[in-house]
Amino acid sequence: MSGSANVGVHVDHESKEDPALLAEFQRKIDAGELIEVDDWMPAAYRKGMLMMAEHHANSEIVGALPEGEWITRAPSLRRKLALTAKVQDEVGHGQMLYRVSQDLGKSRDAMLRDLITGKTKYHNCFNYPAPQWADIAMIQWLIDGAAIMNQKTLADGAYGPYVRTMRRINMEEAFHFKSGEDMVLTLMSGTKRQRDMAQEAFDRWWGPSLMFFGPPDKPNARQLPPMRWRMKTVTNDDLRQRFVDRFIPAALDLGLKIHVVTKDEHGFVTSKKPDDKIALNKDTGHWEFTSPDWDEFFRVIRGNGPCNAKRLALRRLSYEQGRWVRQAILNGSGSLPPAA
Amino acid sequence: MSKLREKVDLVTGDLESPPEEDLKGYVIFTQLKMGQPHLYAGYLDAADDDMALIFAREHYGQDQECVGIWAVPVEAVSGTDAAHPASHDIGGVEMYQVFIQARRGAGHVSAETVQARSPAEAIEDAQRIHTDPSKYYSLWVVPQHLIASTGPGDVIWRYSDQSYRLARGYSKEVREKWTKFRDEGSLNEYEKDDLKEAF
Ligand SMILES: [Fe+2]
Ligand SMILES: [Fe+2]
Repeated sequence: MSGSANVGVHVDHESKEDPALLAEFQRKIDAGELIEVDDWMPAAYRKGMLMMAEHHANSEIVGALPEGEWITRAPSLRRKLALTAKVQDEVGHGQMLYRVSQDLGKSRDAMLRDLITGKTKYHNCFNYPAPQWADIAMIQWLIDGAAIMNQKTLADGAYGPYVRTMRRINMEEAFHFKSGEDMVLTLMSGTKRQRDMAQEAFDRWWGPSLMFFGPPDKPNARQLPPMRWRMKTVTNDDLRQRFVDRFIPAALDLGLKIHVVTKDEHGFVTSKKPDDKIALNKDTGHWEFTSPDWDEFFRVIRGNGPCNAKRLALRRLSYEQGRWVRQAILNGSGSLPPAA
Repeated sequence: MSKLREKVDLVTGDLESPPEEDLKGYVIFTQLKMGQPHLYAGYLDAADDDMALIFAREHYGQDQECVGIWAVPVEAVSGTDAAHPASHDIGGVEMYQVFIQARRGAGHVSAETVQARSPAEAIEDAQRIHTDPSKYYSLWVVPQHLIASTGPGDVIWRYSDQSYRLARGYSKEVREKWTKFRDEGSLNEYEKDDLKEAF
């Protein structure tokens, strides 16, 4: 999975910068040139890019947690190999993005600690549960599909190290998406039980997929620093529209039904009704749909989602448990792990 | 999943482990065919050279067929770029590996070696070889003995079937499965948005 790095980045653009340097910086960006790590950049840009890359890195490694749970329960050896490789890819994406962030001025250890103690965020969609194998299929189809759409546009950004990392990551996302699509197709061409399982997982993941691109844009989104400085190149709402234009017809053709759902505090669906807004608008050529529940989005971001506490507790456990390993390799003299 | 992980204690608040130093940064170069130059692949963090090479094999050595890996500590790099200032301190004569960056933002590629008494001298020597400044953007030099390298016979790339971890390993099956649900035309349209993998 991958983070939509465009959530929650607010750049403070009030800071005073040398107007000549700022003008040259903007000229480079407008000319499509890449900004490199040792180039001059406004303090707000450095801070914003760090936040964005760090949020993205956090999302990669937290995103691996729900999927990692399913490696031992994969239904075949090929699926197990694929899921293991996918989880390894995601952690690798995290490692590369932490590197980009480190070069912008924050240590990796500080980032890992801030993540665990809740000082920094990761992508909201990883706070939802994956109770069935079909959830793994839907995550790889919908969430990795959304990640590709987002990251393709982030690869058109202006910050060189981040742009190059996006290009590289996207190659692996192509595999995540294709294998997810294969899993969804397998389930939907299978027995009634398999199709029902897929539908239930789809009901759980459709909302988080729509929220993936972040909340609706401010009217002046294109004039604000994140877009003016090409930290991102497409608005949240435009990305969301691209996503539904691709996935609504695909889901309908597969025989999936698109529902508006309510969920309990564990992230399980308690009631659902057909989304009666779903229709292709012949005039615009775009699909219409019911917007996700943005109150839920902000509730989950504030830490009150179904799995927030569990995801962070697991990261914390790994960090605390791994301490003796890190000390052993750093000091070259290992001691035995503490008794469990 | 282990019981411990399944029923993890929901601890919050400060961490028990104290803050730590980051591991050492390394630049990784991969060699795709014997006799060819080493190409910049990316960065990683490791405790020492051995760990850097193990990690690099998994992280950068499986992207494409690859016969050799170099791991270079970031602090060992001197260059013409602002990020890697070169020391002028004269020491004993040493062999330096030169890396050339063709364009701004491009990855460095290994070139010749030069003998010099300091990194700054090695850069001057390299600039005497690469006299046309329009042909490159920056130069790096690294003392050769600080480059950790895989051995000549080491197997890095795995020759077993790895199609399960590539998009193209699924394309044919996926298309076949779709034909149950969609006609050729709309399938072609849908596939247009697929991202083609290519390094
Ligand atoms: Fe992914
Ligand atoms: Fe990813």
